[in-house]
Amino acid sequence: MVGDGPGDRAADGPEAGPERANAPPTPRREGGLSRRILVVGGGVAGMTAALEAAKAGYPVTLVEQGPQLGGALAGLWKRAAVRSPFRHPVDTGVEALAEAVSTHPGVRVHRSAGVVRVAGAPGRFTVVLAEGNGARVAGQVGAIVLASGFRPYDARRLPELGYGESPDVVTQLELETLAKKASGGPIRRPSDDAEARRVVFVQCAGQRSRTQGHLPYCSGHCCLASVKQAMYFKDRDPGIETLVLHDDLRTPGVGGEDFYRSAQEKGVTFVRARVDGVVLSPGPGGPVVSFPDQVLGENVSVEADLVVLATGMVPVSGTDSPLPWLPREARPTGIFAAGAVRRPMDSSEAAEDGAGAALKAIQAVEKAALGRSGPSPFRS
Amino acid sequence: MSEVVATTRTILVVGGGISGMTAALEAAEAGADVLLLEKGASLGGWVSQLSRGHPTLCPPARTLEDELRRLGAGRLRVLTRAEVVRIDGQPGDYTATVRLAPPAPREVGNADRSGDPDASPDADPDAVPNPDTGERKLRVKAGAVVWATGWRPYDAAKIEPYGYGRIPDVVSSLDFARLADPLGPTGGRLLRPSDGREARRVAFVLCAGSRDKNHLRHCSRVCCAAALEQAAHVTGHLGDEADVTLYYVDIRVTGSLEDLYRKVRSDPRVKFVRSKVAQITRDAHTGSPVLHGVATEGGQRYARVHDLVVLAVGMEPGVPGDALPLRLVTHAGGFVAPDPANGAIFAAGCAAEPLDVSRCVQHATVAALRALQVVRRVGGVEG
Repeated sequence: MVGDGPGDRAADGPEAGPERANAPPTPRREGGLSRRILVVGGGVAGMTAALEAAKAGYPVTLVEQGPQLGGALAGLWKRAAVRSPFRHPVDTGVEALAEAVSTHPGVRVHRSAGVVRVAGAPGRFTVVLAEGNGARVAGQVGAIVLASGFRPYDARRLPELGYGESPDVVTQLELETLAKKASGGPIRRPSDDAEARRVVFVQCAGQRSRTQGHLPYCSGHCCLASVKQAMYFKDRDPGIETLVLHDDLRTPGVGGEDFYRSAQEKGVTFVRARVDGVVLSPGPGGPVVSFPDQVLGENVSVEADLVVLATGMVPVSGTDSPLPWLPREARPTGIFAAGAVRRPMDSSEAAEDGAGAALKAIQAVEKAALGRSGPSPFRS
Repeated sequence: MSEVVATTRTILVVGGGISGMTAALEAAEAGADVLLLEKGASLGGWVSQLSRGHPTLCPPARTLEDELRRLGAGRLRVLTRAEVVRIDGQPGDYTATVRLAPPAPREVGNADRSGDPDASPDADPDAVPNPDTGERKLRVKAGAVVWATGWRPYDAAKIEPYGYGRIPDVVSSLDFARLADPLGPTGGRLLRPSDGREARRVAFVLCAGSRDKNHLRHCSRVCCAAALEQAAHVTGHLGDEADVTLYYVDIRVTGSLEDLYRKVRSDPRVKFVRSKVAQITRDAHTGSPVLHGVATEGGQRYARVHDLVVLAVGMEPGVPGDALPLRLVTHAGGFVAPDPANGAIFAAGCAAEPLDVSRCVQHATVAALRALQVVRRVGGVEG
């Protein structure tokens, strides 16, 4: 059963006990209304939304299309520092979060599942889930959090940066995979498994660009990600050369600048070179990166073992407009977007956004219970 | 003040700017009892004072209007001219000591608690006004606290080489916002302070006192977009007469704000010079400010005269770490950290980190949820 509609009260019984103990005041509980919150997407935003809503005393159903919880965060080796002194990469915490979600008595997790139908209004949505085994289950929920996340920009659209031509040109997410595989040991380049000792990061790859097929916007998180990834190498062996080619280096916020400063202290080299001047060509020992150094005013070429492209985020929102980001509350009401489907963001902000969406969903449920939200039936 | 009732199921929100208002409203609309305290005479904070906002580029007052319209909802009470001077207790059971400035604060909101059995009057011996100051003290209970005391601009006078306070036509970005405000002292005309002449050659100095170990270590996130907006305001206001220069290190705008950057960057009336300005002097003959430095790209030394120089200053916490009413774990710059040791005191918005308006709303919503979780636990079965 997905929800706690009138028909499945008995089935809800065993779980309902502890939840009801924390229940908020519901002055006028209308018949047939559900307090259950459906969360679509098991990445950091969805997991946080589910856990936080459950902690506030609401029953939650979490639907993840993949076999595991974790989303993009589960693919990362580390994340940027989140507290003073903002010096070193830290564990992602994704396993603990997934565990907390999976074991919380108020959360039901459906893995390898999808939402095939939604109808209704706040307090009385009818949803149908398709499980991996083909089974369909129906139920009622009060509000929905849509945390369908992002997909990485398709780097195959960047042949001018050598992607697809050399296996040693990878995206940031692919570098995370290599770093996870290395697990603190030497990070090896894909072509011959040799340790990468000369690493070049190219910022804004396919971003902030008016070229057809590129992203017009800045995804916001990639500068900090490259700063962090350069530290993967420097923290293991300060002798590894790391070069970050950037135009505007963007590390705003309470700790971003200290993290950037720490990378400089660790010996990461930052050079101003706009991506539209960067050219990759094959070399005997690896890709050769040529770029116009904007400070020196001359062209520079370096051979690299590994080139990392800072490509951006594209939301999974079902729209193809140039800015396909979803607003917080979708039409019809009672459905709240959270995380990278709303705008490009890093995992810390996605967690924050998921928690915020949980509160909006709680409000929708509470207002429906008070009869404040008029019926706005729809079908999809 | 017997009508000011708070119990351990109350969420106390400190600060009536956009973050505090958001946290209060979001918690109240989820069904919580909320008491919002604002030190000043009115709600709205910085958002009510700045005529343009970002990143949505719609007047932030619009956001504010939406919020104010919602104030009547739920069990939300507001006290202005009320400053929290001390907080004692633990999660689920805090007591805040509040200083009420004269004249008597007005309570707004529609919460009628007269018939509420939980509403035992909070009799307080200090409720008698101090005969000298007219101040009164009030103690309120709360299960959780949202700390939303916001930000203040970094004091530009501390950046000694920039001459703020010595050179009259060197102003801060906040000063400029007043000049550019059609309801401001100059009626929106960019009249420079020294001689009242209309400024035509306007310089914006980005990262003034930011990303600097001697001043603010951090980047405040909002100053680039604000400076771009202000530059666009100058060109829009002066037309072909405008001669604007932005001195910058990195232009930090993310998401769709890239469009604003692209628009300003392509404007022939706006020059971009990548350089951390070294010094600002005053021209001996004209009295105009002169900017000195070395361009990062190209390496040329410059000394350029401008009519008006705007220092884009960053944000620091509105209440510094050592002035907090209780010990809280903070980041290096005094922003309140999300740390379990802070118990059920949750910082919201710019008290936690430098944020733009939309991120403040996002952040404050989370603080509201965390507070709600605490008071729901306190409420237990009776809730």
